Amino acid sequence: MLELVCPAGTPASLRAAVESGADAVYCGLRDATNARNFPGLNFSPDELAASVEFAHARGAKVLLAVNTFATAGDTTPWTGAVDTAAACGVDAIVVADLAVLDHAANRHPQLRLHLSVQAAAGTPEAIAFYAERFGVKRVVLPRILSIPEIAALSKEIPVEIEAFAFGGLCVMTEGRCDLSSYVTGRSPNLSGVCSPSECVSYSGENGQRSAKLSGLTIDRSAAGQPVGYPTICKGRFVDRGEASHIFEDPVSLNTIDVLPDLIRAGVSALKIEGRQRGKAYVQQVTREFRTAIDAVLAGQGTGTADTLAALTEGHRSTTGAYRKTWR
Amino acid sequence: MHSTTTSAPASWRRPARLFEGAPFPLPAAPPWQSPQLARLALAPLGAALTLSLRRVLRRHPDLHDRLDAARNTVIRIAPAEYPVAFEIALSDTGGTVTALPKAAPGPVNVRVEAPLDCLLTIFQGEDDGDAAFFSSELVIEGEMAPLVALRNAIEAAGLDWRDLLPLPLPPGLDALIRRLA
Repeated sequence: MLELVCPAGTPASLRAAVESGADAVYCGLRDATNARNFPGLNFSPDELAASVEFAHARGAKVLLAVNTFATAGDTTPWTGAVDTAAACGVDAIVVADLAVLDHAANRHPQLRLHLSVQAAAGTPEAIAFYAERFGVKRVVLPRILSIPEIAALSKEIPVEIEAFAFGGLCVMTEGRCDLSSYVTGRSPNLSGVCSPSECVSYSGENGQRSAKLSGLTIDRSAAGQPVGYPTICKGRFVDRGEASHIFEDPVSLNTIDVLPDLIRAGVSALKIEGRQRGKAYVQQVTREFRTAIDAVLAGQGTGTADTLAALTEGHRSTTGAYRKTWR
Repeated sequence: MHSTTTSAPASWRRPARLFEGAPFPLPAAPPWQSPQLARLALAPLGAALTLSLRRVLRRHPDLHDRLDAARNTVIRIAPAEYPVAFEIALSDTGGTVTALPKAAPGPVNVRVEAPLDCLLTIFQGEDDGDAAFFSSELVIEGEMAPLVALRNAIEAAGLDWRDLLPLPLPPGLDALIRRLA
């Protein structure tokens, strides 16, 4: 069984994911306890309970992301989110912080624990620690490992592996990136938001479009050119007289072509990134991956025309580290 | 940096266009001569859309929370091929929509421009706003927070073109349209 795990930023997206073939849908509460804390996004506790009921009635699971790091001295919002998850009957929570894991393991031992990518656990020793200490059942791998490295890892760890299959990419130190907080004072790790939209503005003049973060210009491109998200890591900066994407290109992960290899490597679940995206995105990506997974499992190749290019950031896609040739 | 990178076609085309094969002519650009006359001519359209907005807010009380970051801001939305724009101003108690000439001056927090069918398909949840932004078919100027809140609230409410009408359709007609859709 290979589980297709899809994103939902609203109950409407959750319903779209379930109806399009998701095995599981992950979402977050409307606060800083999850890494997509954007204006107008996410679920109230009542919406979460109703969504769990909807998904379960159709054989799908709901996972709640409580995957930011708790504030020192005030873990209440995070432990409260775990309590809400348990009360709503979610199938698992996705957690990175040790204090939150400890609370969940002690107070809700029946609640299944997945280790978030934000924990950046990519070694057998780190993953074994989380499994032994807190009973974590699945690890979401950081997007730094090649497929051979995942295959080797899967033989040494006592938990399921969830790997990212499609969507936006972060620079290679997930859970440890300070670029957003350096410029805005807020980060995905602590505030649940990278490049908070309150700090983002766009302007256009003389045929050029500029993206600014807290007043700092981070990208400038000719009008009409494909663009990406307004994050520092995907900004364009001048180095030795040349403007380029120094940290990361605006590009999306797309693993359709390497699905058979990921499955052979021991991956149990494929994750689609994009809780901030609309339900049209959720619908289309879920359908495409449902078709591809079913075809691969039936031995018929990926069985898809891969129509996802138009949804990708900067209109470019990559297999990322899965086929990496660098160290 | 990445090992395998492929590019999408330069021109993004959505799978369905709302007005393709429409059995009615699309309105031509209005021939107004002065900004004052234009504002006057567009006032009924703004008033009708204000009624629609208030009806949606009444039907979806949960939207009030989602719209927090959009409150007390002005969002100007402009269909690229028409000389008209719509300003949405949300307050604690409701909101208004003003239709005005696209070139009309005035302080706004954020301005969005895209082809009309792009705006409508995003409104109906049939297209992804981020994808339209990535392709530069949808262009934003100004602050992002109010726009993100509005987009997410619209997504959550699951609206369609009937929500743009100032009054609900009679139940019989509504049911017939749903069956034909």
